[in-house]
Amino acid sequence: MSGRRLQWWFVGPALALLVLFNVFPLLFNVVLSFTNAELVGAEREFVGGANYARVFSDPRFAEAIRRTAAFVALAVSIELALGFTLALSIRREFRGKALLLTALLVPMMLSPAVIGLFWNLILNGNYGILNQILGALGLPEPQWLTDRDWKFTSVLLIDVWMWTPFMMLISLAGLNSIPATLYEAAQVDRASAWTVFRRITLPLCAPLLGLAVLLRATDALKQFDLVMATTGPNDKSTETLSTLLYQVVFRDGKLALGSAYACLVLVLVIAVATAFTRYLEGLNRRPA
Amino acid sequence: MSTPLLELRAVTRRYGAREALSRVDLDLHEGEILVVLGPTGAGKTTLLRVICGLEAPDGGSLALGGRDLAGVGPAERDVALVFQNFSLYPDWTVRRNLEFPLRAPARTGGRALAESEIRERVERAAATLRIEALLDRPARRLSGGEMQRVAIGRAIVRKPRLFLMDEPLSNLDAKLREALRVELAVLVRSLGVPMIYVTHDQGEALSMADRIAVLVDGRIQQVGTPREIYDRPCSPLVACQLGQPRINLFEARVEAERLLSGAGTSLCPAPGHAPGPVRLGVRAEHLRVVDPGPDAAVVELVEQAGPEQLLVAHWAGQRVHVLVDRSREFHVGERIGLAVEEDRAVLWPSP
Repeated sequence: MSGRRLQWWFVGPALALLVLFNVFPLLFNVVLSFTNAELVGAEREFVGGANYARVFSDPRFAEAIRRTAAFVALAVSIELALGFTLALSIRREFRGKALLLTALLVPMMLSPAVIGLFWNLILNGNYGILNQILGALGLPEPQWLTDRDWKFTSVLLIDVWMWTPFMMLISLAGLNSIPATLYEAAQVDRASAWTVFRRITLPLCAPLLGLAVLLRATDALKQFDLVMATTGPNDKSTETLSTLLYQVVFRDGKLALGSAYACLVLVLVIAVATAFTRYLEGLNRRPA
Repeated sequence: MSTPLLELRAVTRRYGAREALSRVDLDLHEGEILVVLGPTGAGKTTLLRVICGLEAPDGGSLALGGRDLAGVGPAERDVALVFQNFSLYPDWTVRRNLEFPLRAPARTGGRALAESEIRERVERAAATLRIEALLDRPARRLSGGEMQRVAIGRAIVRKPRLFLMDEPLSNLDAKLREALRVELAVLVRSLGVPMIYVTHDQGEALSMADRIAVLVDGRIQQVGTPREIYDRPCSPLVACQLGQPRINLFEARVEAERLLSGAGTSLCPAPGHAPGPVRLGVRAEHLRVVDPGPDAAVVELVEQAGPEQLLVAHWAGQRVHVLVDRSREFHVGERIGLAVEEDRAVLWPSP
């Protein structure tokens, strides 16, 4: 067998799977978005850009974009700040560090559905442990998961709880990669703690932190499972792009309209991710 | 002699059960360049770290300018340390890196320097080290040699009381190393700031030092001028640290005022020595080629070393190095006679 044909035998299976499960559905989704297909029923006709026109005139879509953007921005920045601070405070060796690290990593390892369920128990307005504590302290007891003003915050809180360890872990890796002699040189040079942080710690961690932010941001853009497990879809205060999509396609049965939503979300995610990777490459291109 | 600027008395530093430094005594005088020479793992870096305050000794005392250094942090000691691996602030330009030690004290409550003074000092240091062209380049974009110059520059802008240099040239290629070590010695002498320079490179030690301290296994073996240490090493261990090629060592014995090798070869006369076992050290240039006698040596290798040639020969039951001039040609397998210049040879009591 010639080398060229052999190459195809190696690449072929993966390529076939990729086309079958990624490329084809993607293209099919684009085609669907120009029809009037419904989830149930075989009839479909070409309707041109009608679905897109509907999407753009739909305040619900704009609202979901705004909410998702707010969610991404808030979740990622809080997680970054908390995770980095945690990493800074536990970077020194101390007794029980391994145990603490393992404990801190548990939330990240759990399934979001499980997390959603037990946070439901914690945050439940009537018998949840959080409100029992707040009540015992004489503090107000908000209806975390049913009050319109608190739902979004609750989902955000759960996401922060779940993903802060991830940020911490990456930050810790970044901190550990900084050579100790840089700190010692600064000490001999009589540098202040702030200068050391600003000029050594932060810039040397930045590329890795950037990567963590990118991963978290693209993931948070797709926020679905936590919302599903707490407030459910079709909730005005917590509807993200993904749950809106779910509602439109699987609850309302509007397959074509959902496809149009999906195409737009895809474009959005790609745009954000590309902008970010460009920025990251810029950071990394500075030779070490 | 005047009181030393820096005094170390019985300084000990342990890592777990291992003693990285044991009872180190060392003095450094104003304007002096002291080179600490020793093999890898001898405790050289630990010594510098203890002196500059990055590590506290487990025993003994240090005094700088008469002031006891116990409990005095690195920032207050006013010493400059150049690390082996440069340690520049990577995202700063060379200029900011050089300015930093001048600006830092003001932030921690020290005396602030005038902007013009800072600029002048940075530019003078840059000119001295010939890095003016690099001043606006970020440190991470420098080559190794450039980084090391900047690192040295960062030490000299400050006019500290003491320079500490930890093998600053060891990461550079041989040519640059030789050029920089000369520059560095001239520069430090012109500044008049005393320096402790740590190296495992005997060439650096011999070319720069006023005095050399030989450190092996955490112990100071001998302190003296390069000449003293080269000519009168206090032990075979010290003798082996200096000299290229290595000194020839013989396990010998004195019999009837003659030195005999273990194999019974007569090495040289030893008038006035009591009979018994001794150790003999003879540098390669202190072996003379003579007419072959009964105890002839056999040439195993001839190395051309520029102005001289180095013979590797088998003699008195072991391999010896002989440095001879180029006037005569030698061949492998040739039988030659060797004679020790007995007034240059060093005798130590056998352990």
